[in-house]
Amino acid sequence: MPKGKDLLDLTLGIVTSVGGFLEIGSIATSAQAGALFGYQLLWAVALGGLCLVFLVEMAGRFAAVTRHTIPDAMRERFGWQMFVIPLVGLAAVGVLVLAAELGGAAAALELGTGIDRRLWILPVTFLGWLLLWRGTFAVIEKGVSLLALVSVCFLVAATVIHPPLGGLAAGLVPRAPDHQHARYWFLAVAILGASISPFLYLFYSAGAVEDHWNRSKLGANRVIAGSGMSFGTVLAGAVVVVAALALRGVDVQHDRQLRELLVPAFGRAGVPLLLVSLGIACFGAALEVALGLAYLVAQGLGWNWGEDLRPREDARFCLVYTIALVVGAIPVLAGANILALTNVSMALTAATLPLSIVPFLILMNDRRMMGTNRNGPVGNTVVVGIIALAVVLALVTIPLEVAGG
Amino acid sequence: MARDVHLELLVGRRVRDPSGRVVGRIEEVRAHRHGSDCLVDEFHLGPAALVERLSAAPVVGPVLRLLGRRPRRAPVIPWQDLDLSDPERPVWRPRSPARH
Amino acid sequence: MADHLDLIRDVLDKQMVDRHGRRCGKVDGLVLVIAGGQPRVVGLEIGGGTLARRVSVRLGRWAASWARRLGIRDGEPYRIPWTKVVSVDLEVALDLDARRSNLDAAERILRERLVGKIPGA
Repeated sequence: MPKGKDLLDLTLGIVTSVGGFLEIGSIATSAQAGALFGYQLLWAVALGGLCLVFLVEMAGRFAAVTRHTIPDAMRERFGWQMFVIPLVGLAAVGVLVLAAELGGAAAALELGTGIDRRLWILPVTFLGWLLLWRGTFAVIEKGVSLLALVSVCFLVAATVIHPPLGGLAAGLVPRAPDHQHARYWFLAVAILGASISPFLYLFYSAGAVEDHWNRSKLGANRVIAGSGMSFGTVLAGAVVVVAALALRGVDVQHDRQLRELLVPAFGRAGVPLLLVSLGIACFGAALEVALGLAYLVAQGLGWNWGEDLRPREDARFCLVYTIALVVGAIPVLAGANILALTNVSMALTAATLPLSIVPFLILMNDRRMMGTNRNGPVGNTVVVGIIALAVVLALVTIPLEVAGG
Repeated sequence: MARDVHLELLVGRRVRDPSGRVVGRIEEVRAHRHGSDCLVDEFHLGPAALVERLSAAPVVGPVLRLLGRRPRRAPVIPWQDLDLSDPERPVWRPRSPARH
Repeated sequence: MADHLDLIRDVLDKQMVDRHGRRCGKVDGLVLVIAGGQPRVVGLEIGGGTLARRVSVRLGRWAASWARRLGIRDGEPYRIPWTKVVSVDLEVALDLDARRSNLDAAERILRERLVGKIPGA
């Protein structure tokens, strides 16, 4: 029987793994999907979530068994020349994602206060930087996650509006749409890219090392990864359901159209609730992506790293997240459309998944590093299958979307 | 005349025989410690050694067999047979046939 | 007594630890000397310039010139003689004190010139 403290740790672990799941990527892509196609893209959300459950469990298992983070191990196992490729790819896409998250937070503030987002982006970015500079890993991880619990409102909204369960079940079965085929499949790719964010499992792995996980955590890891990612997936699905009602038939092109998402469920109170959820979710995700980029670079290059260290002890690590945040603020300052930026960054994430996942899978199957804890055929098959699907779809739909849009 | 050679730049370099034909790529360098020294014994070439190095055999091995190609064993070149006077263009000058 | 060592798999790109167990970077390069006889490993090399050169020669030159400008070891990589390598296992254990060496010159310079001056560091 798990003791009281173990249960608390487990709950906290699940809560923290949910935080950062719902962010501009999942909210925007789920909302667009629900608006244009009702429940028909729920299967993409479910598939992305399934893949993520496996990936996050693997990331935690890897950290607990090898006491290494993934970028660390990638450099050591594959050598610098091969590591450079995922490093550059992930960093480039990561900065785009960071820009979208910062933009999401600034947009929420603009929609709530009327003050231009190009002005909000500066204090938002600065506050993010300050929290990383002064905070410790535990404070950031848990603080962000607890605040992000407000996004449970999407689940509440989805139940309150009583969606037809038959329709939901039908949406879980993948099938071709009856209109706007190119957009449908592009959104499927974007949803997969939003769910299977490499920064999610990289951050999880760095967190497991920062929290000094060891083999005794393997069971807890399975529970946390499974429940946390499943719950996050359900939240993303809830956004689809809510959008299917609130924005039915609307071609969502601008983030201001997201304001009405929670109105059918909660009336006019739904607008501030939506803006608060969006703002917090995006801000938290921005912190995680910025930290994830710093972990990636510092660990891969062999620098000192760690959020628990004071900045003077890991100056280069801090420089990375600082530069990332500054660069990430530029697109919004330049007036970029947040939704378009989100769609692009999510689609590119999906297209570049093999860069990080193929080496990761090789590590997970490595007898020397993982021993008896290495992957079994189920985990390998699920991840490879879903990633292959994502890449094929991305290669087909991205050119079409670029040509059509 | 003593020369500095950077090992990290040798990784993946093509090794040719004196007639210019490609023998393989340097994938591993085996050495041994002798007191406080570390002496290079042999150079392992070719994609097979890369697989060993990545320990990807559980994933790559079955795939290669499926494609009908058995993974080749890596040719091994003893240090005496590798001419590194131009480190960017290593040449195999065998005194004996390369072991497999 | 001879110990066999696969230099690329077991030494290159591996984590180094100093005599106090502190992590002090990864092995970015390995230097051999060929003095007419059997090639001998003379040292490990650490530095962004070394990493840059492994990507492309031009990138390496560019990185070195920037390091020179910032005063990081005159743009030269840091060399650790092979004699300082105690053991090669999961990590490369070194017989030196990372804090006292010029290993992390880049880190130190960044700390002194920039990071250390920002409040809260």
